[in-house]
Amino acid sequence: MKIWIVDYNVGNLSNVFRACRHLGLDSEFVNSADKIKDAGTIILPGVGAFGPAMKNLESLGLKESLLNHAKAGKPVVGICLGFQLLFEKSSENGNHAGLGLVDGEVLSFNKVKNQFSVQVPNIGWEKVKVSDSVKNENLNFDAYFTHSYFAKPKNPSHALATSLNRDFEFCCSVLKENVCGTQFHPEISGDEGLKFLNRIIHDVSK
Amino acid sequence: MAGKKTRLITKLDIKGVHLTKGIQYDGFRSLGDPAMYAEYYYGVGIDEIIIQDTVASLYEQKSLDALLERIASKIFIPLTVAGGINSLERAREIFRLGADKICLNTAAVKKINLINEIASDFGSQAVVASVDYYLHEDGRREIWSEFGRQTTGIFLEDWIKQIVKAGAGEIFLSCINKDGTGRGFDHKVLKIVQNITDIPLIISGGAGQLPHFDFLKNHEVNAICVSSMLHYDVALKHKEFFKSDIETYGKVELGNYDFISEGYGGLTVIPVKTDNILNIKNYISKLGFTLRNSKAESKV
Repeated sequence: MKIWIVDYNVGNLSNVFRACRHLGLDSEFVNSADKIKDAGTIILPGVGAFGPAMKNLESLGLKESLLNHAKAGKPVVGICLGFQLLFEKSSENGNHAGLGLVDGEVLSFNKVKNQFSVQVPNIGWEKVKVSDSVKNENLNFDAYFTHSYFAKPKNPSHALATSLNRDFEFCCSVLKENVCGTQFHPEISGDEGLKFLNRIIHDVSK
Repeated sequence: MAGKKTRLITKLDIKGVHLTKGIQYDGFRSLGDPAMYAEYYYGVGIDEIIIQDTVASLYEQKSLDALLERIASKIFIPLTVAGGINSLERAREIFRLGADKICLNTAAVKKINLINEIASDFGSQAVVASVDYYLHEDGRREIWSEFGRQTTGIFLEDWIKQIVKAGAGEIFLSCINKDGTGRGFDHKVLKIVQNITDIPLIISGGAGQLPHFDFLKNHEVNAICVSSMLHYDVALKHKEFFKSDIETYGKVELGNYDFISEGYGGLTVIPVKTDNILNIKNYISKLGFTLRNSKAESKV
């Protein structure tokens, strides 16, 4: 299977590339609408801020082609910032529209500071609780998080996994037909992270 | 309240192509091939690795780049890079080569707004403020820059407030006096910093034996960085890490194994009780903390 990794000047592509290579997946970088037209499974990585990232996707002409790709039922895997971009909007440094491929929004941990004892940014290894009602399976593993914002899917059936920021539980992975993603970095979460990345790539690429 | 998992981190101090280890940021001994240490630590369960270029701000060189790429290709855990990062462009390059986080120290002292500049593009969680400080006899903690070579006249509490305001996402706190001495952490610093900010903290400098982690019972911290205990443990067991890799490095001697194992005049001056990652994680776990992949049961 081949993977197309979107290069939109946002963060660390090489780690995702290396993870794919380690998993035996051939991959190439795509940074134009043309190349996305021919793509199979797409990974949307990202380290950075929501607003500038969306701006980059738009100015590179990638937003439209990504939307068309997903609407045609082709697979999209969002990682970290890429995961957040899948949603409708984010309140990071202003209000920004996302790709809208999964219903829901991205909020700051600071927003829940009054009710929960969250740490901002949320950095470190935490347990990921995967609850897959489709596969009738529950599994836990530790993954690496580094973020100040979290996604809140509108439809609970899209939530594939949750994690904790101290005592606050939040959604850290979604799966909606051909679209999926993780808030944590599966490419730097050791062996189990790589295994999970492999699994969700195959889940959406069927 | 559910606690956070404690991270065990190690730092590789790099000079050219060598892994080195000093005492109080001085007297660096070469311990071999940093890429081999990194790969080994990844295999035995370290949570994160920091690569520190110890002479970058001195020479403004980019000798680290090839090594960074090599290490990034071997490990699938977070990699933080420190040393000589003094511009947005350099930060971008370091991220592209494989870093997940970058540290700013000297550059932030010279221009604190650089923290904000880089955090704006990459997110504050990707920017670590590396704070090296000297604990004076009167108890004041003074910030030193240029990897322990330059005093600044800035003191800890002030500096912490400034770097948090500038948008740092995490603080890497190193006590220069304690570094490499194996005499225990300056854990009293934690209360001071945590009274000012709740952003993630990494404490570093002085771990010499397992009881040195007991302070955690009274004082939680996100992450602990241990270097001497681990590096000397590996150095004594893996002579092959010292061998010159002709293909990668040419005819560079990677370290002095004989000195490490036999000492000088019969004195092996290794100031720590060496130990390994699993033992340290199990010890911390028994104190009541959870860590990634730790074998012991947590009391919580």
